[in-house]
Amino acid sequence: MRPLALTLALLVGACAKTAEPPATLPARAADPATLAGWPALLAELQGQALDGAGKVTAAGVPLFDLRAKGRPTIYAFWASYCPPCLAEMPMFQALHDDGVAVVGVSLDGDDVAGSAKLMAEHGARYPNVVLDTPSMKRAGKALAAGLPFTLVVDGQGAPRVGLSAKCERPLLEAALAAARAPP
Amino acid sequence: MTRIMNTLQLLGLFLAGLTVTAGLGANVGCKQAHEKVKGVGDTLQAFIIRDAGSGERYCQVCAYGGRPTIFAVGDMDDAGFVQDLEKIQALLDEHKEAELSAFALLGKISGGHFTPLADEDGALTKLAALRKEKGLTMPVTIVPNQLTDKEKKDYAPFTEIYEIGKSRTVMMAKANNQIIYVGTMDGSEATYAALSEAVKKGL
Repeated sequence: MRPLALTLALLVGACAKTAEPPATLPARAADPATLAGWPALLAELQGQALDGAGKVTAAGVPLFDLRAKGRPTIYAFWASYCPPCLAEMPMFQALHDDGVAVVGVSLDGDDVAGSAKLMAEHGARYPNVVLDTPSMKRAGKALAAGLPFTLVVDGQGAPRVGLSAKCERPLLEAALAAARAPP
Repeated sequence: MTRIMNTLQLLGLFLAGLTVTAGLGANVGCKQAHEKVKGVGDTLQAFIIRDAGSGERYCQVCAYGGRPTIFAVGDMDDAGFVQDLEKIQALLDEHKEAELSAFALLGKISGGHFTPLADEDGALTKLAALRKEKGLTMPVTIVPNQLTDKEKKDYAPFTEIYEIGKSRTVMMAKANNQIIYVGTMDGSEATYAALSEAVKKGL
């Protein structure tokens, strides 16, 4: 797990030090080596899935199963105590409104009601999964740079871009373009 | 005509008043969104720090998202707090596998109030030396006196969301950031043992 943590830490520089979001993706954010641990994590991290209205639709769902088939998916990791995560929600909702597959991933430890309430308060109506406590702890270990963290996978579910810190829409669109391109 | 002009002026003042009121309302609403951390059961709230190791400004609480965390707050001139940090470092080493994390925040604590340090750069230099001397791996931080406009969009100042009345205040939060322990260290083995127990419960 440590190599994954270290590589993810490298991604912070790629995003956090960008004063104005670039239209092109920082090179390291899409480096396959930096995303090596995520295929396994996507299969292992699980929780309660919520629909856009905050209603639980399934329990014990792995993140991998929540992706859109055949097109990129954005996994937006967040928590109630992370203001920039909450501030990103309207942007993710706008992307979702534009047809992009977005899945929120809450690290509030089984707090389904609290997560649903915050999503509603911030106008987020895209699907969300509230990680169970063991998964939350696993995610915590993996996210060396912490929150916010955004993972973009391609149409086959392969991780293609990892972005730490708060990001603006142009960077997310660059990440989606990278995920649509052949590996 | 004069009467009409007076009426328009009054209407203008009324509308201006409404605008100001609405603006104040929005401001108050924004501040109310940041709940003050009072103790056990609350969540560690996010705030901007300056790290003595790197000099960077960021949110340490966010950076530790999903991990159990010890948060220690002390007075810059309190030698006892250094002893606490050494004890916390030992806990970090002991629970490394469980990804226990910790960070220290220093400021001026007097009269039951925490205030940021006036000489930020001077403090960071001293704290960087302290961190090296004591072999601390945790971030040793201060809070900036002023937030940037960009930071203000997401974060409230530390002093608006935490009530720290005493030096050597130590909190333990679980991986979901819920605080399960708040104590004031006094150098006794009893207080360190209580913290150690809380850490075990919080992992």
